[in-house]
Amino acid sequence: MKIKRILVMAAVIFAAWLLQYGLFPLCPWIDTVPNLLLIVTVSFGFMKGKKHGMAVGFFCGLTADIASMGTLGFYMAVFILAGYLNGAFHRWMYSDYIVFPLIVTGFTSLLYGSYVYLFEFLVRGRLDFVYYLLHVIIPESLYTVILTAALYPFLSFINRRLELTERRSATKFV
Amino acid sequence: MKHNKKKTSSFPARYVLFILMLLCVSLLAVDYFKPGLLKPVTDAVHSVLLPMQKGLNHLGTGFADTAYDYQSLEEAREENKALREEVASLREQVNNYQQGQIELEELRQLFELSGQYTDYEMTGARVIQKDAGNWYHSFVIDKGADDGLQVDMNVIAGGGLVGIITEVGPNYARVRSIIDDDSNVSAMSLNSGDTCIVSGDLELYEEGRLRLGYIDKDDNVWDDDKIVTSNISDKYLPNILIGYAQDIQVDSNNVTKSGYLIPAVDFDHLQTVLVIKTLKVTGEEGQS
Repeated sequence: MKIKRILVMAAVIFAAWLLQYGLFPLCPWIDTVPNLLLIVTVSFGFMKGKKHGMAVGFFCGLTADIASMGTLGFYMAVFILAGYLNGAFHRWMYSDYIVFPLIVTGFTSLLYGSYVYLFEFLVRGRLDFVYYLLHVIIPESLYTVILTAALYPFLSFINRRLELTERRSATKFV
Repeated sequence: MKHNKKKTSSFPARYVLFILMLLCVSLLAVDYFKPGLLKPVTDAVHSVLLPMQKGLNHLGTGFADTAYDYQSLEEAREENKALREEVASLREQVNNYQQGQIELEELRQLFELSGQYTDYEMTGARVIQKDAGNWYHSFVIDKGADDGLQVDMNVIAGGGLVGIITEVGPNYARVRSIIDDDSNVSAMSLNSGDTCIVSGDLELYEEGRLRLGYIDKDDNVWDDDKIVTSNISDKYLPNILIGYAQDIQVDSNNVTKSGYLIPAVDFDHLQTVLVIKTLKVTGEEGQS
């Protein structure tokens, strides 16, 4: 059922948002916060295709925009783009093969960091890209990739369960 | 899968992408040209989400406290081991010294808070959200317009300046800390009254420092000077301690000096802050 997927996705995004913006920043032993919302966007874009990725990216970006209290649309744009780009890799998806999603997540996270640098720091004349790359972008990407290794199987499991119920209900109606 | 394929072929995904990007850009444009137009929307969302975050915050700080307890226990054990190997008298001396240090710290804080800033009406607030991105140093506190907070109110903690309120909602307020890359504070040396600018810098903060600049070459600002907010700042109240000067050197232009500043506040363990409800009055009175 469509409704079931929407509800489950909302719960997943909400959980990721709470963890990323509510819990992780308050933990003193976490210096670099991994980008959970990006993991969700990339994973579902990869597992379900461009449109699904963009939908998930839209809501992840919306929550990120709201949480950061910046301009609405700033994070939305990059999350939607991430969902779309990873949706393009959908055809290379094999359910249990984890290395490819890890690489893809790493690259997307690097792109994401560069996007933030470009529009928030470079425009203010902070030119030392290498410093930001080494101290913010790469650590964040590394943490994100490590967490993807742990979360992707779980998200993939959720996706498979949803597909199972969807298929079952589809045959029932036919 | 088949089901999915049929759908994708109906309306190309790149058009969807284009429309969504257009939406984002127009949202950004609306905010740029008509700031505040979307504020009711974000405010409404916040009043729904904030209570949840508060709950989670309790959980988070619970975890954090336990971890911190554990960590300090580990540290104490290690320290104990090292101390055991030393002579007993030396151990006692170290203990005495530590106790004195804590006492000094407490007394100093009391002095800073009660002695220096009693003229202002203050209210305590709890930090409920820090920026998750690793780019910024701003946070959200659990009091807002309902508690009488306004934009540009100064925020202090532990005897030093923390930052300034940049945004106020009904039940929350956003504080930009002085360590933020975007922050500039007009300051002066407490000894000489010579002015300077304290600016946050993402690169320097890793070393626990801020940038101290725009000092005249002949001004009396030296290492270890107390740096406080200046009386000519238009947003910060005068004489709030910011930190201590370090490594002051004459710039290559031979006109100005610059150096670094060690902040007085421990920004890594910020849980409660004090908001000064007095706003700086600018204009005629500000110059006196």
